[in-house]
Amino acid sequence: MAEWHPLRSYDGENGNGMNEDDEKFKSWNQLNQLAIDKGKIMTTAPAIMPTLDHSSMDDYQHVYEPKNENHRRRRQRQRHEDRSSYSGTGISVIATDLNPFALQFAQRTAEENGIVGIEDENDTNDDNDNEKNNTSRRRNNNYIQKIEFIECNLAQPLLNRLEQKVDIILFNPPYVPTEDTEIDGNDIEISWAGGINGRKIIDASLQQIATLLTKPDGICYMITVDDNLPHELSTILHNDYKLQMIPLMRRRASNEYLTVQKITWL
Amino acid sequence: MRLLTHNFLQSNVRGTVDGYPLKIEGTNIVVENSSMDSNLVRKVLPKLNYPALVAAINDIRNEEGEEDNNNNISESVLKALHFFLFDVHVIEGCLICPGTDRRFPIKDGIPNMILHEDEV
Repeated sequence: MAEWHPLRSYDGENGNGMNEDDEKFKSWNQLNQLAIDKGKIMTTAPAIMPTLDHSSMDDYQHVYEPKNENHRRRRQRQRHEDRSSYSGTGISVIATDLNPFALQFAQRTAEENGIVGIEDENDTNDDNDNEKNNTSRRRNNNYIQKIEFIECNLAQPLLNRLEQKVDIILFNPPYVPTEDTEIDGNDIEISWAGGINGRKIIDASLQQIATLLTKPDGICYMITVDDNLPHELSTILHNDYKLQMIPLMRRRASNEYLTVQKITWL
Repeated sequence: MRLLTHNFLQSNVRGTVDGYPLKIEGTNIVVENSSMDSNLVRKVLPKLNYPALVAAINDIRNEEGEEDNNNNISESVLKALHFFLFDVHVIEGCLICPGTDRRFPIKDGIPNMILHEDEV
């Protein structure tokens, strides 16, 4: 059976007197329900939380603290369908952020978890043998090993040269609804402040996503909350960029529903 | 910052016609050997800009190199490409916009490409 999609009219249900918006909204809710079900199935897979032993309270002054919920979601998403085709060799990853502290923290986390770093296990430059052994044990050939960090606004300096060359985009935008002025802050709030409807940064990213994704197989996974009006986002992506967006997985996280949206070419 | 990443970075500072390729001024460059991954190099090849890579290699070697127009890529060429793309890291230094000489600092291997409001 074909998946529900708000933009596809489905047989026999067009003449029931509902206006188009209601119809779209109804089918979007149906998609969300499917995404919740997928989320439940996936809870059987154990989550791998990266070690954060290197972190301290000082870090969380400047970097949004990683929560178990976020990481479980991320790993699950990889399990769901990326695992077979996108793990192992042949991957190169670029991570970008406006916040230099977040990038340094991510770099340290990657090193501590054996995802990046020097591969030679006999390397004698490391003072602490125990630590070194820990890292080696954690290192797993299935992990990403070529990861680079760039301090920039979304993917701005990459747009010209990576046009239609990016296979996968993972985007956890600042989605919390705030005043528009809050997104121009200089501190931790820029990690979550999303402006009106939490959409300011998300809307600015759409053009970049459309520019970067390979055709026809590129995929973008983006986190949204319901305040972002995802069904409206889906319509914008469809009409302006010929991209389709479907909720892939959805789960309650304390006071909000987080949804992983999957964006692909029509 | 690997040379692979350098290959994808462009300066869009206001006033620049073509801010590419960025000139590399490395004050701390390290080589970290990693295991050969032919699969990865082959995947990356169609995304690369060769003249920019040659320029980058010249920047870090600080000498003139000869352009290699050989399209028949042997394992040894893949190995050489793997070395330059993945094993050479610019830890400290600068990326310089060829159009405007705007300098983008590299610290702890992370280039800062953020443009100020009046530069966009």
